[in-house]
Amino acid sequence: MSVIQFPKPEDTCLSDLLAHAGEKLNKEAPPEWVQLQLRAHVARQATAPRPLQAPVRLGALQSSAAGGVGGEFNANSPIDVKAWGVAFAVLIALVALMIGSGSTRLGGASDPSAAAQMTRELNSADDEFVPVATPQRWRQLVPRQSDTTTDSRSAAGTSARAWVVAAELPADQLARFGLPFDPSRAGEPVRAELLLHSSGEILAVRLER
Amino acid sequence: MRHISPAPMTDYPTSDNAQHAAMTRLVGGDTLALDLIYQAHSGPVYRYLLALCGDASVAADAMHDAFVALIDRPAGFDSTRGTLGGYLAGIARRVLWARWRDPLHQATPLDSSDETFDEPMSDAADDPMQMVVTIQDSTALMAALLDLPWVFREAVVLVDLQERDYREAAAIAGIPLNTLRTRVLRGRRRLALALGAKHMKEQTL
Repeated sequence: MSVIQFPKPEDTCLSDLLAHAGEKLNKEAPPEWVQLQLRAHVARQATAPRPLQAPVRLGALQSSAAGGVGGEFNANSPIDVKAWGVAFAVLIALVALMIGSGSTRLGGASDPSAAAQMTRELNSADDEFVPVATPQRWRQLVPRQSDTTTDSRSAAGTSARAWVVAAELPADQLARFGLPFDPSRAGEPVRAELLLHSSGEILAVRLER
Repeated sequence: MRHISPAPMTDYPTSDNAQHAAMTRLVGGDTLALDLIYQAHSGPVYRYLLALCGDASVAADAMHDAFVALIDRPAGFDSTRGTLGGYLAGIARRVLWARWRDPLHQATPLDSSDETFDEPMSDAADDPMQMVVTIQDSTALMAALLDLPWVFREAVVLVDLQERDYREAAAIAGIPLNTLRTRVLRGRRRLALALGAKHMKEQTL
């Protein structure tokens, strides 16, 4: 700590000395390394794999990718991208309806609060993640809801390990995922969240707006 | 002795809404939000620690740990219970206190008997002239402050040096308001006593 210099007027009393000390103290600032380390810590936190908070989304995405419009997934076809998007939205709505009607196909739906929570999660997933893995890969990597007889949350959580990972991608990387992008901004980074399977394969992408 | 009236800190918390928004963004991993929170609160927290321990590196380490705790567990902050600055200072205080308990650290431990000690007032405490003479070197006050028991030092630092609101200071220290007032008073007395004793010693040399 730097030395505090006090004036020495003859009428100085303790309160004045404390006030001067306080003023001097106010000029002290934390070293820069603290902020730099904290930034790095936040960045690590943001990019570190974290458990998927709503495993049921895996099932929804899987069904969307596997059973939507049918046919092979062509990552280079913009038509397929649109079709997948529509199929995904329709499927989300169907699943939400199933939950709302008390269907027991999705575990926990018989519990009204659990059903409401799942509906919220699915609705929040709507228009977020876009599946980029082929339907075949989805079937291989993510078990279907119909294959599970127990609670879908626990089943998805144990048999289909995936994480949401925040990342910055080059814009032209979007084309590789079959997503539309502006070629004039190909060099610009795009912030996105990747649904990353434990095998390292990217299952779905959500672009940050 | 003239009493010091606490005044709000000019660089202290931002508005509640801005604070809440920054916390929300921080949870999402937004480093810009961290910068906002850091700019608003790092200074007061660091200076609080610095005045408590007198060691810049220890203060920086403790502040770093406090912010990391906030980043790792932002849900621990409840805006209904106090300001973010006060919350951070409270975490930093616990970090520092953990260091004090390290046997390798040359620290003054918290002694409950200090609470009940009713020290006599020195003539020097009420005699500005005598006290001024006491300040032979510029570090005398800070040295005397660092010699105070933790509880009094903390109270004086929060209220007199940092000019925090009494309620916020009490929240940071985790004590009732009246206890804080008592500690501030006794801390000032002990400070004056220490400075007066130093002066008397130098006079006799």
